[in-house]
Amino acid sequence: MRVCAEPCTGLRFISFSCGFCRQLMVRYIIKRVLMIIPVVLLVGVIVFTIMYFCPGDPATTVLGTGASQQEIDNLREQMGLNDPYLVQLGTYMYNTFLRFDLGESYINGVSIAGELALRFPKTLMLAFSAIILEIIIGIPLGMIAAIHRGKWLDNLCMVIALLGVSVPSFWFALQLLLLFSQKLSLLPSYGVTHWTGWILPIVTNSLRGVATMARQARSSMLEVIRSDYVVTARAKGMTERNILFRYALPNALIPLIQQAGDSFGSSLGGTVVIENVFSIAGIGKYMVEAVGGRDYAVIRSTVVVLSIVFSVVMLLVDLCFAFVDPRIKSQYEGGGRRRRRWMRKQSKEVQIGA
Amino acid sequence: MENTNDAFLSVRNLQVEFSSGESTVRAVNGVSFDLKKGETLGLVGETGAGKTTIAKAILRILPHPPAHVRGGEIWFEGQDLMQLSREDMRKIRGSHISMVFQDPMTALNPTMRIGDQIADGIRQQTGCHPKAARRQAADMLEMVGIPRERMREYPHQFSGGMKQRVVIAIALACSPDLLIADEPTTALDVTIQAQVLDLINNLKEEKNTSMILITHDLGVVAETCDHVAVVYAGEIVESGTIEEVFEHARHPYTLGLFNSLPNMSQGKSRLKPIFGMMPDPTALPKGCKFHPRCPYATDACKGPDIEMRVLDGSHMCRCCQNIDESITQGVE
Repeated sequence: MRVCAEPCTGLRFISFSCGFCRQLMVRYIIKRVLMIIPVVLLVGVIVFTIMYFCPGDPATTVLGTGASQQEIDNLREQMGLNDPYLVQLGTYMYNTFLRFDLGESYINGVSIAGELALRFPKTLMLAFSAIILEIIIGIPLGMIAAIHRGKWLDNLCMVIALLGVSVPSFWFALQLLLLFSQKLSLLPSYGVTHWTGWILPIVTNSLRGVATMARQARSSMLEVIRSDYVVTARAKGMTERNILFRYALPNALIPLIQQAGDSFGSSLGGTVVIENVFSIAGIGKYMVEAVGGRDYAVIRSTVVVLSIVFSVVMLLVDLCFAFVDPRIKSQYEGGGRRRRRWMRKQSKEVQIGA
Repeated sequence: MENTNDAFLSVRNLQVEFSSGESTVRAVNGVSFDLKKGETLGLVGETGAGKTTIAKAILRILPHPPAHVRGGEIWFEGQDLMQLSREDMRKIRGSHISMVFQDPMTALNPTMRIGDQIADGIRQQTGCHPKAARRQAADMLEMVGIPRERMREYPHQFSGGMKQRVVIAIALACSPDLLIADEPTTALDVTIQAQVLDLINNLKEEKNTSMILITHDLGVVAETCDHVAVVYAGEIVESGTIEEVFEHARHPYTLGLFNSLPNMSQGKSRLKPIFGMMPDPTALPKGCKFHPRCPYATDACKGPDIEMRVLDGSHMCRCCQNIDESITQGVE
């Protein structure tokens, strides 16, 4: 990777003045990273507004039901709950996005940022392991099925995949627990203090994604195998192996990248169930507890942090697209080209004016 | 036609079926023809007559589950391609026989640089160093009139005509002995058509390649081919040299094709189309496949299958009626 020849900060950073930033793909990435900012801000506003209009009083939550009316009123004043909506929203946005202060839990007063830092790696571990398993198990499974289309291997793969899609993950988790922890005593039934504790949660969480991916990979591969360019490759005497890996696979991957990105979202959501079944102290469990206890501060912060993670993953998905499909890459770069033309026109007009 | 042994490519009684569920489409029914080294054969016929299927059967690249080669022999340089192992057949593709496909828009891999797509075939067949293959690919590109700098670009950066040039470059990269061009100009603009045909002809002459040109454009056939075979419903109905077929057409279908061409010199205001449609390939008529549409059909045409008849020299015709030029003049 090239390093910036001159430091580019502030406005120059955005105007892509240095050599490195003039590369079209780098411009696109910078543009996309900057676009995450309004998305996250908007998520913040929406979540705050929904929580504002939710029934229930944070002051009561903090003090518990035994507190006197006087105490509650004092705390409301102190927390700024009597201020108008816009003032409260402003304070919240200022604290969250400028001071990076996520506040404390209403229930136990523990710092939310600290709690998230502890819990986040566990949830990410679950979600990313699901994506990785999808790629290293789901895609090959679908490819094998497509190559042996209509034969017993294809049927076997697809029956397994169909089971994987249709079995509910909480039920599957319980069955695994019964078998491996209860009967065979091979794996721990809860907690992730030892690496063996991760096995069952990861298997359960990635099951659906792997199965969906296998089905998608099969249909995508079947489509590509029948395409004209594969026939062209065969007509020029390529070996079947070469055809598969150089011609069919890269094209079959294009829709699968989208699938992998989407399933990251659903496996982040899926961790809510998995973390509760296996007692893993991750974000999902944290959120369920917060919803149960009406801990609005925790809910708000978790949603905002999740939205940042999700935006970053979506950016990575789009970059993978550009990496695999040159047509999409040139689309991304096309935006930059248009801008450059516009900039050139502007500078020409300035010259004419001078 | 009779001297099979010195023919360079000799197809004998080729039969191909497509099965889908219960119905079977008989796409090619007993096609036989010969081709000598350096000559060009034109396969003409309507859409769906089975021309492309014949071509793909020669290369053995028909999609296997629906398509079945039911019988026939394809002798190429002394060996029967139908009997070769998969691996031996693969070695023949590209280096000895190659094909230019009909639709340049979909024939190229969209995720691969075009230089690599040309070089891939060269490397696979010659086993040479990647750099040498790439250099040769760049030479091929220049030969078809594309600057060599563009070899690092992707198919979506090329126009249709240029893509077809790339497809031709891929097909000719290993200097094949036989080139099968499947409607190489159908998807192209008329102005580009002439360029592409000239290109194919020049390259063919340079390398003394034999060619099978599949087309439904009789003008193109007259310009480029030595022999012509008219295909109807999976059968060759008439074949011979260009002069024999174009000057003395004897099969009613061939006559119909010529009559439906616009002829500027005779100043006619209306064309004479062939009435009716191609027969349903799942239920072909008995006897002559053309008899339901034929203006000269008699009961004899509906009987047993009609055999190919030698008229004179290499001119052959699959018609049981004695239609000579006097009758055709009368009909016109």
